[in-house]
Amino acid sequence: MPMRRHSAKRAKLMKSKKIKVNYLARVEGEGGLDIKIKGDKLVYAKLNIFEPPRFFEAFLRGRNFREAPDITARICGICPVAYQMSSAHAMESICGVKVEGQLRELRRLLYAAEWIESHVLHIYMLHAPDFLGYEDAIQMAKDHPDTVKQGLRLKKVGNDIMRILGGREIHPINVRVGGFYRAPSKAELQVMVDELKWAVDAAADTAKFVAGFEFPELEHDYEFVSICHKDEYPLNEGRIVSNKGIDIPIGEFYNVFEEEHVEHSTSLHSIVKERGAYLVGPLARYSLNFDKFSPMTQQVAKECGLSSVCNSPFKSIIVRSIETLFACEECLRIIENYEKPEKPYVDVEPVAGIGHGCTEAPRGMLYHRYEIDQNGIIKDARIAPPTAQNQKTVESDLAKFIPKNLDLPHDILTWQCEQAVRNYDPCISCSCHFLKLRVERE
Amino acid sequence: MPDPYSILIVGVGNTFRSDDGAGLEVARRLRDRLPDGVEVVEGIGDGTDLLRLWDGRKKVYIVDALHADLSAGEIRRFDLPGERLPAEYASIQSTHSFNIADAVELADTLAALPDSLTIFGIQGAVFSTGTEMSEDVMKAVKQVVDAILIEIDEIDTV
Repeated sequence: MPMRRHSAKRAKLMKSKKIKVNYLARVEGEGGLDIKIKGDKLVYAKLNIFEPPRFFEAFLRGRNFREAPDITARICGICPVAYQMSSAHAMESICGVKVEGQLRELRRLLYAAEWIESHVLHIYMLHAPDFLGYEDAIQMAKDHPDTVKQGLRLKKVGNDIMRILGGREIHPINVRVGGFYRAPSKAELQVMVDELKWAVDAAADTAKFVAGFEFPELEHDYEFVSICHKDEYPLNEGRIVSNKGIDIPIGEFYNVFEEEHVEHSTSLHSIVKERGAYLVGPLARYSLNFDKFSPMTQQVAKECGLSSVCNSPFKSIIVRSIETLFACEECLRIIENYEKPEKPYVDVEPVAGIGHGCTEAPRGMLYHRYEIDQNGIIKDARIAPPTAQNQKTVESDLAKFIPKNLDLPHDILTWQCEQAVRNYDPCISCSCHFLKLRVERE
Repeated sequence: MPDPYSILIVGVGNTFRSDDGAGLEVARRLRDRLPDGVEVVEGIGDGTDLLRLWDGRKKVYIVDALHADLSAGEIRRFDLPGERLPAEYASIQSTHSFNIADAVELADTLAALPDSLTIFGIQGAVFSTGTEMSEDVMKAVKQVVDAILIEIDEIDTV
């Protein structure tokens, strides 16, 4: 186990019997993880997260269908493209439009850029300090400034593509139902080629670097769920597939999954009907779609000690790095083959109906369902974000992990629980505003 | 006079969380009232975005809502590098887990702070979902907008 340097703040926390770790303390009382241990038994591990999507679902009703990508993009500062893509795809499916060719490629480019930003933030700034025994990335930067700078440079590659293609680097404004408001020229994208070539190497190095960490033992027989496409690693299109028999078109989402109320949580817990918890996100995508990676990416994964399936949530940091490598390769491929389309969008006229969009946000499958009328007014909206879908699995992981590690000193156990929650890269904007962790022993 | 392109104003927050939108509102109001070239950014994804945004700038303003033990609409101002962010500033959190205070500290560690950084915090009263801001916060938004306009004007005419 890596040695952890305890800051004064943490040392102070260690003295108390009830331990509360604030991830974000802006608004108290809205979300958190409560763990109670009695003697040598775990009494409960309860995750309670706040869900702005419920607010946005109400906010969307009565709006024009063309507004959905921009409104839903505001749900999350880290993955606005995911929301834009799921909503745009849903609206296009209602109106009978398919976006193909270079416009489809540009969408994949924008989405892959978001994966780079989001994954690199998590790997370098949030998760690596856990493994290296630092309080946070700031402490890590004191001893490893070049590592942190490499992370910032890699993340910037995603931001730069976002700026060129999305109109600005945060909350892109260039996405519309049917495509884009403006398509970049070949020259505008070409400037990224050299930096992307660097990024491909840097992402491979990142994967090998994090593969050298020490990983707490935990494996789980997950039901992995992700989008699967016959030719591509999943981003924006495919069927919903699991390793336990699910294989459905996205429109059947609610035939297979349901959201149940649980007493301790204000939010809904997603389950596979009559079966229970499931997992979306990097581990699920990786394990269901390993054969879609390039030979080079598959080779790097093998060098990192991974097989084609990964059941260890703590190793999600390696898988995120492998997916970052994929995303960099994908951006490079798209830019090298890019030809500016004649028109930056496909015309879309409203048709009354119900439609679905399901794409792979960095944290996992993001499902949208809309009903619009003949004038394009949104009558109903439903959004199932990945972190909400993973809630029950986070609890299951902790219920399995804690009893095996009750002999650990209290502060180390608390820290490892915190790390275990971070394995899921919980999206604190789209599924909870902040997360606090409290471990209580009797 | 510094090149106006070297001045950056960043509004941080969440429009859909009531008073949390204060910083964004300041940025929006400033957008059309500044000299050409002063860049205004509404919203960031996470704190690391700041390091990239302020790289090479002479003067940077950040405006964010504040959740501390103050009255609604109270304004706190911090000028770096002369001042240090007080410990309680850590409670100014963005909606993501790598926040502004983290960004300032990381930039300090990597010697990547801008020449001059001013952070305005506006104490909010309501952070629940909604798009309306409290009256006291709206007054504070106006005060911060005016303060920044006067300062930029002085920078511009020195």
